[in-house]
Amino acid sequence: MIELINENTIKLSKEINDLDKFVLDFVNILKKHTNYIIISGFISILFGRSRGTEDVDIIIPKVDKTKWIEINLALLEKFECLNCNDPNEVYSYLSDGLSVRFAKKGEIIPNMELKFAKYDIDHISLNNKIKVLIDNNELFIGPIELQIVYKKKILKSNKDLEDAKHLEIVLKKVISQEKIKYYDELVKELWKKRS
Amino acid sequence: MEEKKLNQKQRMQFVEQWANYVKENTDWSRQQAKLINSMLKNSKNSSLSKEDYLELKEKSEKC
Repeated sequence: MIELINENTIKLSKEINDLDKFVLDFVNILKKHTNYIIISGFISILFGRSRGTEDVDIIIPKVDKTKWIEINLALLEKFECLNCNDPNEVYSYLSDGLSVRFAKKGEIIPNMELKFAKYDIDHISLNNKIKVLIDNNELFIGPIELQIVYKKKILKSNKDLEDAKHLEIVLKKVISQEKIKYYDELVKELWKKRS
Repeated sequence: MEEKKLNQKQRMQFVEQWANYVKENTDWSRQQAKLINSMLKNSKNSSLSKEDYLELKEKSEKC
């Protein structure tokens, strides 16, 4: 069952699967240190899409090196960075606009693909994040309307179009058509600026 | 080409059918959990190293 609690909160009743558990484990550490949002494919999966994924995209605001080392060390309690072990080097990757991947220790899949917010659209997503309540757990995702628009108008692969269609049907009562129009214009404008 | 289009159309029809099931039924997440849990279990049998995996991802992102 999916219920809109308020403009920024959705309550979801579901049996938590191993991918959900992995994501919740990660964000439960991360949230103690920074703001974050999950974007892209995992959002469709969270709301019931019949597919898996090996990586989950997550964005955090750009932080300074000291803060990153604090975050990295906290994550190392349960996770390891697949790209490199040295938090200083991980920070260099992130500062260069690259993403890094964290998996449970000794594993590769699934992994969290983490990057710093870089583009306007990343900052807009962070500032308009949606809280999803699942039993006693919570996680933050990017605005659903923006995810739909971005998948339909920018990414446009078969998988992205299918993800967007799934969200449109399952979240019909939650989605604001006004926001769809707003993000549609915004994405067009930002994309033009970016290219 | 026609076959590819037909395949995409059929996939999209299934996506719509499943999304409507999710909207109207409560047991969807039990079924989804079976699918996802078994996929993740299978992935643990992979013999890929971290380096191989990252190289593969880098190549697929360039495509």
